[in-house]
Amino acid sequence: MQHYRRPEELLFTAAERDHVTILIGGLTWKHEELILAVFQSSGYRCARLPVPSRPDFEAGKQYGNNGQCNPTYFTVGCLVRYLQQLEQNGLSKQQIAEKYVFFSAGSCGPCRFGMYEAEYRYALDNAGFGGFRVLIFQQGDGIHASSGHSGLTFSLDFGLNGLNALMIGDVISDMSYRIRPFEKVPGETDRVIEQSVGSMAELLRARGAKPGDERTSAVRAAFRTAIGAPGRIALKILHHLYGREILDAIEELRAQLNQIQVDRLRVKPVVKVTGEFWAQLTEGDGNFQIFEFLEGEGAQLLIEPISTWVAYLTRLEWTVRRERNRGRRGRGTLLQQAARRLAVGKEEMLFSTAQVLWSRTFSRVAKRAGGLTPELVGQEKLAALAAPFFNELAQGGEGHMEVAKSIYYTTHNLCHMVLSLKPFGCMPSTQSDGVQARVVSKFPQMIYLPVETSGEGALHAYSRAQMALSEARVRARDEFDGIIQRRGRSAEELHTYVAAHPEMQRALYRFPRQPGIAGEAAQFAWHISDRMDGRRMRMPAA
Amino acid sequence: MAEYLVGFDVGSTTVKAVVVDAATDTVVWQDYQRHETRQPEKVLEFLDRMERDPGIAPHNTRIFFTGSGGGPLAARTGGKFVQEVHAVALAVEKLHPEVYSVIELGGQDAKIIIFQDDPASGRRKKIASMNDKCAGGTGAVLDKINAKLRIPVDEMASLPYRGVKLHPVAGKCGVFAETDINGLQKAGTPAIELMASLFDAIVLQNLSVLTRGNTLLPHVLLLGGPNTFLKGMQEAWQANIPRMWEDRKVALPAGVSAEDLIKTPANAQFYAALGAVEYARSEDSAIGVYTGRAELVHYLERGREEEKAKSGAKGLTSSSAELETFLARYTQKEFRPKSFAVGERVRVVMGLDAGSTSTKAVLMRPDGELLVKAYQLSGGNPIEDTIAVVDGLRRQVEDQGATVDILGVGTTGYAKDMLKDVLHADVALVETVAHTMSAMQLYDDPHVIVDVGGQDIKLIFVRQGRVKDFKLNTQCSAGNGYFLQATAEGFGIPTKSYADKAFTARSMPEFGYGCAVFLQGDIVNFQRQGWRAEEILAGLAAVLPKNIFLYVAAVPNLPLHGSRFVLQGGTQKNLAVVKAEVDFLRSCFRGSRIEPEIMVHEHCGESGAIGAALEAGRLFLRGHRTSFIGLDAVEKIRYETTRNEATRCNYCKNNCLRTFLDVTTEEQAAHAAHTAKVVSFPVLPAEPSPLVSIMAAPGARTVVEMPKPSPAVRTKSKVPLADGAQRLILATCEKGTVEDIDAMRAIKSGLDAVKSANPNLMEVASRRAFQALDVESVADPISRPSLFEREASRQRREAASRRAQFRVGIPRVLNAYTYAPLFQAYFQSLGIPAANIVYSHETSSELYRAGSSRGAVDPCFPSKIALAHVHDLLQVQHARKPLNAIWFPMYDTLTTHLTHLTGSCACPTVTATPEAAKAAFTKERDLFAEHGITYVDPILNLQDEEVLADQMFRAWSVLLGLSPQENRRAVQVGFQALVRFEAATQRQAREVLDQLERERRMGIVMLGRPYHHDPGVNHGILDEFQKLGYPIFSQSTLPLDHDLLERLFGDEVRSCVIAGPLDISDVWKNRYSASTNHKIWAAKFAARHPNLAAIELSSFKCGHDAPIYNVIEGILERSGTPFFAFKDLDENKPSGSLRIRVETVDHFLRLHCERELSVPAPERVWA
Repeated sequence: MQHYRRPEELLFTAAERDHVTILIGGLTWKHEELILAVFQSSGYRCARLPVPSRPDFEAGKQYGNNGQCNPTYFTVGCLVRYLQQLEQNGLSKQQIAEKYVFFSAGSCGPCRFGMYEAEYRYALDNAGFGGFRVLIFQQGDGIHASSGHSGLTFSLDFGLNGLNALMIGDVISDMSYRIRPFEKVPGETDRVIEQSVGSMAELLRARGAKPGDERTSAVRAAFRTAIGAPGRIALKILHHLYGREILDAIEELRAQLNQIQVDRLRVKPVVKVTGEFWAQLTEGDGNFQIFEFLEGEGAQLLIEPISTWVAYLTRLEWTVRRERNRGRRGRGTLLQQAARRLAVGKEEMLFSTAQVLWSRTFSRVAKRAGGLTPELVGQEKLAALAAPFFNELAQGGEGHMEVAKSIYYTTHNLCHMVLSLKPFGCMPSTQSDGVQARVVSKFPQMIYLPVETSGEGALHAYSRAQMALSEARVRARDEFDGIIQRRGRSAEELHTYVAAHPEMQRALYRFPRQPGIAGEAAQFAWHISDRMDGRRMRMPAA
Repeated sequence: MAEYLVGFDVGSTTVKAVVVDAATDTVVWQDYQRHETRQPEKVLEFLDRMERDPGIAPHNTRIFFTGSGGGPLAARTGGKFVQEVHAVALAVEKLHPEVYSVIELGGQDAKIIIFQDDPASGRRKKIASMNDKCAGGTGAVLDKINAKLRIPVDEMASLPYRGVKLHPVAGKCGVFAETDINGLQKAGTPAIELMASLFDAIVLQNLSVLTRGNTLLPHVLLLGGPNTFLKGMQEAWQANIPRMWEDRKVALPAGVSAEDLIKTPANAQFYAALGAVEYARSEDSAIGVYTGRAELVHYLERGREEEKAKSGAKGLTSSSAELETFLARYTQKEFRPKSFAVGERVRVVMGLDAGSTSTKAVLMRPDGELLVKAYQLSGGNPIEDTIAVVDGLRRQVEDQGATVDILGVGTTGYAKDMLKDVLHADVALVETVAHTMSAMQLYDDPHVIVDVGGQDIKLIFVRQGRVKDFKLNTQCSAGNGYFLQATAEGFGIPTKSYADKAFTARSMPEFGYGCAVFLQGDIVNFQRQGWRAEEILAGLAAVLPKNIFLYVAAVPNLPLHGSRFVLQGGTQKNLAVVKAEVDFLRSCFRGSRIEPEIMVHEHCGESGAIGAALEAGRLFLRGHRTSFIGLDAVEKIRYETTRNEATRCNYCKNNCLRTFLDVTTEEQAAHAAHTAKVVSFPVLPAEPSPLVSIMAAPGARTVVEMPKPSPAVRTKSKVPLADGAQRLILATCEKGTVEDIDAMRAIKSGLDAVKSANPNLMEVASRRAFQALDVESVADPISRPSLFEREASRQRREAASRRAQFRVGIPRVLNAYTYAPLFQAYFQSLGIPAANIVYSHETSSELYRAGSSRGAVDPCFPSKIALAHVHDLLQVQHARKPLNAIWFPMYDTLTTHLTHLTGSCACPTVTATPEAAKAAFTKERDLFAEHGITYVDPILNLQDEEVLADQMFRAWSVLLGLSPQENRRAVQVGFQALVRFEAATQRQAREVLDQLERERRMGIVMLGRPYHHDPGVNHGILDEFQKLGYPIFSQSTLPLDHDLLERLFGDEVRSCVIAGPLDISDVWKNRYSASTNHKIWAAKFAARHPNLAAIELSSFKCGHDAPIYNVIEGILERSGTPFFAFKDLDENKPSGSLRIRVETVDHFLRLHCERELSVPAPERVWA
């Protein structure tokens, strides 16, 4: 009797590095360009997949298993079509399998994301690309992970560069959504961002050391020996955090962005975007291009950085351990219990430090880049906000974080409306939406719009988005009119004042924020009124 | 400041427009006209008149568009597009400030808008939901059913709902509704009841899906065509919504009737246009400034052609040569009936296919030569249709002076069993098998049979002459011929001319595949772009294969299933469709170096009847002699249908209404006359196959005798039976097929005998899981009260007394089917009496309907029913005797017997369900608090006893006054009970498995998840197999005995393919989901055991099943194990489709027995 065996996984060896191209995808083009540079800086050949589109979704359905969630179909289909394109361009299937590998993240929690790997292989096999290599970076193993294939080596440099790229990508992305709605010359933000990402990628590419490139001076070698491995790691981390090149590059980015002229007195409803990881991140058909639609309808978007996800994964690891430690605290002799408590305390300190370090680094990058991007919302805070509604131990990430972010941004008056993007078939996100019904009733001021991005039905999504946005627009307008009335300065006066002060038209012009005001125009109106009243507030360093 | 605000609503058939004086807010101009697919022209004409009459102009006007065709026109006039639902909401908000809910039913869409007061702004928030994937619950379902019932428009408009008897009908989709309507129609249900039932189904479908758990507060406004024009539809809302108000204790204005609170406004056709104007007020004054007609004129003159040229694809054929080649290859030769000599005695077998829309019949020589065929459009009653179609066959022979000698009769189609009984046919063959036999007889080794009818799609995958799998359109009606036909007729093109017209198109619009909802929307858009009817028809034909293969059947990678395709079914008569299919199939093979062979069945429409005749011929050639009543008798069949209170079955609490079909043939009448008043004819039970079965098991030597009515005994009946008549009783279960209690008892005892010989271990486990247990008390001891007792002792005594009274409710749902014994033992061992541990009732459609409407989201069905179970505990169990708490834990990590895993997580949907349920009952009001119930839903790690003990202690210490020690002991007792529960079932499973091996019989392993043990979730599918004689196992009841595992896995362990018998790493890498792992292991078990077949159950939207569909299939197919899947199970039980599946699986399992176990498969009793 013959028996089924799972597909054999072919290796990606070190010897292949020079002629094998690693394909990456699944994030925004900004993140991917920077990550691509990191790979290249470490001596890998690398290319990025296009932003997944509707035809990719259909290809995913054609070649994949039935009943998958939307991100699976989009991303799997995207890879299949990219390979098909290579074939059309003249490469044989054999050549494609030899010259390319695909690199993706692995499991996180119990959702089916951890099974994508198998789905990629199955769809590729169905499309005639059986044996095409899919490499997985297991998130649970952190930066020290190895894919198990010697072709990919995760050095500390590589890992730290990758995290830097992720963070910078987040900040650039966030800034683009904060500037574009107010730009005076349509398209200028996108042009500058494209240019900035290019130069930032160039820097990252130039800065990494290639594997095996260990040439250094004798003095330097002696110093490195003297400080030992922990010292070297600490130095590397310090270098990555405070190294001159990266800071220079970020400042260069700031200078470029600051050239953009904006009109902040345009009253726009602020929409906080939340939802499932990929649906809230992609800038294509995977979420009906809803960011573009909403901006076209006059909204300003607050997107979620990937860095929040990194912070969540750290928090998740800690909460799972905490739960286990709690159960075991009474086990063994008193001495053993004390020893365990000590170990747990150490563990807790390590995780807290990691969290703090991560969010501080993010804030630092954001500040250097112009200070438009706020700091990450603390995971502990989010968990506490979600607790009455959704247990943070129900893993997946989307569950409690979606709930918490809706509450946080609404109760802190940071947005006029919350848009939650949930792909068809996403398990945690669907249940989270069930819980949101209660959240909305507890916070009646919340305008909450869940949109299921099913690949079909964009029209209905737009209908509901426009309806909710209409209400948010009224809120934003009311808020702005309220400020005008309260401060006694007419809109015309404000416009005239700004026209007379060119620095206030710069994209990165910074001014103090008032609590309880969500709209950019309302905030700005308050500030202009302050200045007109002679109440010159201390300006944060630009 | 604009002087005028213009609102345009450009819909699929009409253009509506208003001009509003911005200063006075009064309508100064309005019009409403049909656009006859020329939307831009009509809009231009309106603009022209608006400029002329009220005097709109670019400097004084802002313009806003809405409706499905409005978007692109807005862009060409400087206007702004407003989404339609938003526009309607704005109009309602303005015109009906008292309204809090709007229900709009359209031709293909359904929308609900709920208004909520917003304290922050003092305005109202609007929550809208609409159908975005499926036309279920919309006017499309009504259209589809009325196309069958053919009720005139005027009559339809006045059909009532109130006071009419209702029957269960699925409103989710036309496919389901039609299946139910067919059944009811067959049973003689009058059209008035059918339509009222359909109104009811549509209302309930929308209430359960579109309200998203919100309450439709009064006043409720009904909008849209069906709501406006159908009295019955309005009454259905007016009857159902007040039930929701009563259930949720909604305060209603005194003295106002439901009709006043739920109303249809007059003259609502301008609402969307007025709403668009209303929207203008919220936008900046620079938005929507009218730029004049010039760009629109340019678009009509040149732009449209350019747009069309850019967007389209080439036509169905690129050259006349290609078309000629195609037509030469695929044009069907006209069938010429055989000629007969005068006086010739034509010895034939007859095949009858009683389908839902037509009846087809053939006469063939027993060796398979087709002689004549006949077709009859269904008149609603299969007996009448059959009489007509048999007459048609007979005349074709007898008109030539020959005579017909029938040697055998086979039936197929939905009425196959009834016809077999009435005609005394020799065999009733399930449709899938009939189609396969027919295709295999005419074509050499077909791999895929693609049967596309007017309403049904069947894809049958054949490998080496055996049906490997088949797909039916059980979930969706997209992809059938009906939509094409309806569209062509809408264009005034007869269906017969469809292909000719479509082939004239040199280019065509590209439709995205999917539900008819979206296709309909696309048609409107393409019309606006100027695509002509023939081009749209070509485009629709081109998208049909995508809908069949990618959307409805969702077959990934078609070439895996083979390269020889047979296209059949009525829709394949449309050559435009065939061309599109041929091109699509060829494109699927591009790059594979295989050229597919695509054949159109020579007798597209009659393939089922041919298959049935072939089987009758096979039986004849094997020596069977026919029991057919004869052609003369067919002609003289008389029948009478009775369905009223007198036919109600009282053999169980369901009290179903049955249909009595009293049939008289000439032979019976003559016999009755001859033996008048001496002997009456028997009352025969109908055979609603497969419910009534025969042998103890396929391959078994013992045959269970099913009750056979005594021929000479007339049973007592409330419905008199005419002399000579034969009564067929059409009932929903086998017990109802007789009238006599003794006969019923005999049937029941026969079934019990079959069930007892073939245990269903899923059913055993699901019953055992919720039983009271015999466990020791581990609660802390209680000291006697004394004067000097310590406070702790006193508290302990109080806690004990509290526990003795404490009542805890547990939803009988999801993982409770596995873990209920653990918690039952935990609570009992702490002193809660077994009688106080109360489970919700078993899942049923009534329980689901009663409690599911609070759900805000649409996850998988097993998760959705959790809300209904919590509702049952709150509203039913608590009402009987108050509960103190509801225990609905969030299972996070599960136990497992498998090894070498990377994790054992529960499914995230299941884990979070208790949180979603909690939200549903605390959203508007905290119903738990109001009932004095504590809802306890902690997260649990069942894999780690210490962690679980800690989690249980945190959950219960306060409520039950627990000490940590007794809590720990109770958790231990719980785990022991769980082990005993699993072991007992596995022990029994081992005995059954051994018996199967001894008797060389087959059993079935259900590959599913713990909740598939729930009879309400598995729809009783496995019970049907049990009744057919197959013992049932499941992934969690398979025995784990060492010797057995050694026999099945020993070689692989020794050759180091796996590290142990419970290791699944050889087949699956990502081993972190517990139930997924268990399912895969069970598949491996079945694949290695020769006496087991596998049936996979999977619920719609199951996120963890989808990635392993191919793995499960691979495991079972590679080993040659019979394997069938029932996927996408949800709240709708598609009985018709399930029945076909069960019969087909049974057919092939019998063949498998015969071949693999070398046991001759006994013929059915009736064969």
